[in-house]
Amino acid sequence: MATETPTTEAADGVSTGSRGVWFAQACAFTDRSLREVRNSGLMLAWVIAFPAITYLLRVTQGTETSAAADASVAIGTGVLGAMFVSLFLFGSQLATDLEDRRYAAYRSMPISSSAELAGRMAAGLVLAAGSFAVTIVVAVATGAAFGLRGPASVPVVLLAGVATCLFWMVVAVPFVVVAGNKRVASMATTLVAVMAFVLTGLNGVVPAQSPIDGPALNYLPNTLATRLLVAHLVPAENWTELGVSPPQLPTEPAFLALLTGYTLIAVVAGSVLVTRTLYDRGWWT
Amino acid sequence: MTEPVATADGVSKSFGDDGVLEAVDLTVEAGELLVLMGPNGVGKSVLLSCLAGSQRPSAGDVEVFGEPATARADTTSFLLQDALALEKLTGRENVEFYRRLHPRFTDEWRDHVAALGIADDLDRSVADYSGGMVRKLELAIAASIDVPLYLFDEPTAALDLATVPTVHELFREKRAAGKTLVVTSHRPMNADVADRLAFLAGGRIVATGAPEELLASVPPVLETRAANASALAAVADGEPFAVAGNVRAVVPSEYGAAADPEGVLADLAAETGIDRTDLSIVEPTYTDLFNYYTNGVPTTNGQ
Repeated sequence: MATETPTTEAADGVSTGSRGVWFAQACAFTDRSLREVRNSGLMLAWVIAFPAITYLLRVTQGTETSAAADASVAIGTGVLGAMFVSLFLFGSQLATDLEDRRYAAYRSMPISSSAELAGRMAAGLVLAAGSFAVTIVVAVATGAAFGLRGPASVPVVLLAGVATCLFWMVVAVPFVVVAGNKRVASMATTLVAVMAFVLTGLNGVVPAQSPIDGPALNYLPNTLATRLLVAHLVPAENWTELGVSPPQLPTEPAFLALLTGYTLIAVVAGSVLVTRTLYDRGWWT
Repeated sequence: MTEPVATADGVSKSFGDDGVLEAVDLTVEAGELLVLMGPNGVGKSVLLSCLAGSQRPSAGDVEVFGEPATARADTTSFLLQDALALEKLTGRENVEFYRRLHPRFTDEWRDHVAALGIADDLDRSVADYSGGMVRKLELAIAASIDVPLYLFDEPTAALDLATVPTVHELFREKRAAGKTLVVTSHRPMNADVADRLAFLAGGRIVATGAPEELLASVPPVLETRAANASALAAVADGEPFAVAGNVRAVVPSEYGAAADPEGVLADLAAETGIDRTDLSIVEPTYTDLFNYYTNGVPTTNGQ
C-alpha cells in the first residue's frame, strides 16, 4: 500500500547543459574508457607496444641511417600509434556500446552527447599520447635524436598531436555506425590506420615510398600533422638528404590554420554524428 | 482524477519488414505497478524502449508526463536487459560510472546491492559475474536513479527463485515512495506483485486489468498426466501447455461456466481418448492466466 502520494508530476528538469553535469558526464566516459583499457592488460600492451615494435622492426632492418632520419621515422610511426588508438581503440569501445544496445539505455538518460564525445576523446588523447611517447622513448633509446626548434614549437607540436587524434577518432564514428558490429568495426578501423600509414609513406616522413603526389602530402590530415611534428621535433637542416623533402615541410602559418580547420570540422562533424546517429536527437545537443 | 504518467497511443513498431508492435494502446497510471507480460520475443522490450524514449515508434504516439517520450530523458530510469553492465569494469566501477553519468543517481545503490546479495562481489570484474549477478547489478543501478517512473525490462529473468521476493520488495518500496513502475516479464510469478497486468501477444495488448480480476476471467482449466495428453489440443481453447509435469488446457468455452464438471470431463475423455481418471478440472493459476492470454485467446482489453 502506498504511503505517499503518487508522483504525477515530472521531476524537475535536469539540465545536461549545466557545466557541472556536463563535466561529470565527460569525466565518467574518460574514466570508464581508461579503466577498460587498464583492466585489459593485453589491450594496454598492444596499444602501447604496437607502434614501438613497428618502429624497431623498421630501424633494425640493417640499413645505416642517421639519428635525425630515425627520429623522422619514429614520429611517423608514433603518429601511426596515435591513429591506431584513435581509430581502433576509440572505435571498438564505441562499437561495444552500440553492439550491447547500451545506446538504448543512454538515450533514456539525460546524457549530453557532446559530453560523451569529449570524454571518450579525452581518454583517446591520453592513450594516444602514451603510445606516441613510448615510441619516441624507444627511438631515443636506440639512437634517434630529437629537439624542439624553439618555444614556439611547443604549441605547434601539441596542436598537431591533438588534431591527429581528434580527426581520426571522428573518422572511426561512421565506421562503427555503419558496421554495427564490434569485430567488423575493429578490422575496418585498423585497416584504415595501416593503409593511411603505408599509402602516405609512413605518414609523410618518407615521401618516396608514397604513391601520392608529393605536394598533397602537406594537405592530408595525417601527413600534414606528422610533417609539422617532424619540422618542429627533428633537429635537421637538410630535409632532402633525410628523404623528408620534397615537398618542402609545411612550416608556414597557413598550414597551421589548415590543421586547425581540420580539427574544428572534425569536432563539429563528430558531435553531429554522435548526436544524430547514436542519440537520435537534433543536430547539436 | 490524476493524469496518466505515460500513454502509448496506436503505437506500431517495425524493423524492416518485421512488425513487432501493431497499434498498441497502453496507459500507465500514476503510482501503479504495471506488469507487462508476454512470451519471449513478443515486443515487451520494444514497447518499454518506446516508453523510455530510446526508440521511436514507426507509428503512433508515446507520451510521458504529457510530453513525447523522446523529448526529455530525466523522468525515467530504464533497465534494459544486459545493456547497462560494462563487463570490462568491476561492479563498483560500473556503479561509479553511472553515478557520474546520471545527475539523479543516489546512494540507494548501497542498500540495493546489499539486499540483492552482491555487495561482496563489487570488486570483481563483471566479466566474471553470472547472468543473475549481472541482472542484480543492473537492477541496483537502475533502481538507484531517483525518477518518478521506472521501466524495468525482465528484472527477474536469470535470477534464482530465492531472489525474486527481494526484487518484489524493492518494487513495493518504490511504489510506497510514490513512484510508478512498469515491469516486463515472461514469468507468471511476477503477476501477483502487480497492481495491474497487461498482456502483450501478437503485437497487441490483449488484456489489461487487476491480477485478481483477470485471474477470475480465466475459464476452468483441464489438467492431465496422461501419455496421450497432446490430444487436448484438439478440444481445448488455445494451445495446451506444460506445467510441472502436467499438461493443462482451458476448458472449451462451449461448456460454459455452469456446466457440470463431471459431465465435461466425461465428454472430453470420450472426445480425446484420454482416460477419464487421468483428467481433472482445476482452479486457474497465474501460469494459466499467462498462457490463457498469450495463446491466442479472445481479447479482453479493458482499455
